[in-house]
Amino acid sequence: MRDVSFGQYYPAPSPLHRLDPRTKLLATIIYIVTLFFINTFTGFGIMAVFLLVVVLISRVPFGKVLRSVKAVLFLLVFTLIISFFFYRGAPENLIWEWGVIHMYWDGLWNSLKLCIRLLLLVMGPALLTLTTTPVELTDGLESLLKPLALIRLPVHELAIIMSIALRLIPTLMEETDKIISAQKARCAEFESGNIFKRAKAMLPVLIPLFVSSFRRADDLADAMDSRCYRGAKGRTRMKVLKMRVGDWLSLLFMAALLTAMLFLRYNYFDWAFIALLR
Amino acid sequence: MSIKIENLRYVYSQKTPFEKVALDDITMEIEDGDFFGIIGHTGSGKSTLVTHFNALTRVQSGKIFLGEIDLTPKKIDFKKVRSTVGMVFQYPEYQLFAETVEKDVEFGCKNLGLSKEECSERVRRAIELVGLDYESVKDRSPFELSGGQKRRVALAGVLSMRPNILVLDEPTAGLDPRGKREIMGLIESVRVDCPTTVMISHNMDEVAGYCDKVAVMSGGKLYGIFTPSELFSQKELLEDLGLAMPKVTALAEKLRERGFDIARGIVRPEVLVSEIERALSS
Amino acid sequence: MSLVEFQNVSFAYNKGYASETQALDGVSLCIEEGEFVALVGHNGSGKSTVARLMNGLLEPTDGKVVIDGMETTDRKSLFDIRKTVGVVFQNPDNQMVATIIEDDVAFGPENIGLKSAEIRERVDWALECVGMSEHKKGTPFRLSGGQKQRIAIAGILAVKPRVIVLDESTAMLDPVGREEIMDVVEKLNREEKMTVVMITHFMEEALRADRMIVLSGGKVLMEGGKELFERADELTEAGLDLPVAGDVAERLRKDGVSIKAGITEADELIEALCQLKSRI
Repeated sequence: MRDVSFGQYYPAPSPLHRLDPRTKLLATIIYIVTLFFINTFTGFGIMAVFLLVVVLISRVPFGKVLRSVKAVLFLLVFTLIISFFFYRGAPENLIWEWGVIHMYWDGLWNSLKLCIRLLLLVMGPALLTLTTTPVELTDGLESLLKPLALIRLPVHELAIIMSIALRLIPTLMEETDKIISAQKARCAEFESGNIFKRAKAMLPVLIPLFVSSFRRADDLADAMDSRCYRGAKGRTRMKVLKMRVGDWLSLLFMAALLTAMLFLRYNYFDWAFIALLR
Repeated sequence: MSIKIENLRYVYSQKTPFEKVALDDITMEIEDGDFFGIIGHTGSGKSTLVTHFNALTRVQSGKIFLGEIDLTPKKIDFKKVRSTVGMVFQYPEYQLFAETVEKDVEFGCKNLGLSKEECSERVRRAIELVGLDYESVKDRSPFELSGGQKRRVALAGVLSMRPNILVLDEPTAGLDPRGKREIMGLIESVRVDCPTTVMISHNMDEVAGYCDKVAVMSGGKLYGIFTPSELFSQKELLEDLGLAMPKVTALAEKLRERGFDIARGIVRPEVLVSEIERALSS
Repeated sequence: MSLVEFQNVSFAYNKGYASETQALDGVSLCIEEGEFVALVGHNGSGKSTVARLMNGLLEPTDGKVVIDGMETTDRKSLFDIRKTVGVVFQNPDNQMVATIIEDDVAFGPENIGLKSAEIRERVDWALECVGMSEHKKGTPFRLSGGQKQRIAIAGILAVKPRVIVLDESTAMLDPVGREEIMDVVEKLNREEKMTVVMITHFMEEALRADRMIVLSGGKVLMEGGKELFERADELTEAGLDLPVAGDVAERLRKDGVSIKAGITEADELIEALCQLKSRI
């Protein structure tokens, strides 16, 4: 069993792995926003090339990134079919029609674009989690959201909850395995019967699991108190996140990419050209 | 009932980069009436081995026979197997779930599909067998009992299935000396109903004091099966395996080195005492 | 003034409810700077309650707990008390807050609000002390119980308390793990001059301390050095085991063999028996 706490993190000595998690989070957000502004195959082509280059830099095998698509494959095919068959385009673009089902050329292009957008949307964040550990992500989020603490959002508490959850998930999974084995040894059956029967059969697992989770929570609270924990007050960090030149350059590049795509979308290029001519 | 194991091999996460051989060609027999100890370091394969006995871990290659029952086929009578081999895991009190002690102990029985009368008779017997007072404890919540009592209830929960073989993984872990003695005493007394006992333990004093055979595991392999005095009189072997000598044996060895004429491989304090007295009077 | 002082301390769980249980009953004890004290007793003798009273996780229902002049009931000194007394608990799995070992050890000093460089220094030092430096970038999941517990100790060490309390920290470990912890603890006491309070029910561990305090039924039954083993019957009655040499010696004495009371070490027993033999 792989450590769940590492999520799908793929360790590799790449510049992408070394970037500040905040940079990667912001870059991913910009990337997503950009994708929503694009509506031409040229634009998607540019973004695909961009993603490909970034994946190459990250040294994460391309298959790992593609695996993230598997989860949304059904959604992808479904979207493709629905938007293709039920799109109503201009009559001159009609390819074929049967009852409520229509096929238009522009419908095909549209659904293809939708699929490409979806694909790129999934793969970008996947690359983020492949190159950043959950711990780094939590730290990055905490730091990015810090201004929200001013409006009394419990940013630090949320971050520590996330960090402890990451820490406890593997322990609780191990514990679940143990309890299941122990109940199986008492002839419990989990695989037979209808859904209600099965749900009821899980009680002998869930109750001990809850009991032990509460016990662990109690213990952990004592241990944290004993290590002088008193919330965010006066707390410092050993690993201080630091933006380096590479981080600023990456963000600058992302901003440029977004601007370029906006220009492409709204034909700013043409207008700028016309303006120049005048 | 006996357990026969032939060329058992087990590999975790087969065909992945995390592949790990947990059991490597194990052949041995646990005979009817044995108090059989299994020792070895954490990760030596002890737990993987014993979970094969009640088919919680299925045979990958090799064979296991539980009396006449072959555990190798994919389809076996799980209820029969799991009620024959009662398994008590480490810290078994963490499996308790029902609102009363009686209901918890009954769980195994009920799963076997026995009649209500049969169940309640077995539950009563099991609770008494672990040294608790049936009437005063049956309606209490298992969660409000003391640590030692909880462990007894968990043990009763396995005994209510009337197993022929009792498998225990570190039955005394985490208990204080008195609790340890009490649980070990119980396990001895349970043998009236369930004659064969298999015990995994890190505590050499317990292994020496209670087991009549000891299997030594190391890195997934069976190193050998010994009687306690055979095993614990071999100082070099123990050192090679990184196992501690029972403290009594170590003391006896030191006395021998100082010229006391006492037997080798003493594993119980009362034996050492009488040996010393004999040596002094001769 | 002692570093740790219990003045006639009583404690009851669920006070005022039907389930009220008296855990401690008029306990007075002192622990001096630099001492290595073992607190022994059977399960339910109240020894873990003592640990929780020492750093203000619990407040006494009666009496006073004073740490370096600060009372644990004084909320304002609580933070300073916890900087002075660090407690390591029983279950190593339930004490870790972070997924990376060095991040976990850093948790304490981060709470105190030290500068990044100093935290780093303390974390490296603490992991060095418990011999876990080479694992610092790793996760705790693959480690043995003893190794996990050493990391829990490092987590407390990084706070640099003056007293380290181990609340049955060896109870869940195998013999190898227990030995690892005992070695670390002895080293901390001898080399780092740290005050150690070892709470345990293993008499072999208690023997390695300078002084023993025996608790039974929420009261101090006896306290002192190895001479306590002369009162073997009382110890057994309190649910404790004699060390093996002591057990054998005691049985021999009962059978009329003339050796002295209070033997604890194998060598002591062997010497006594050799003398006896040469006299015959």
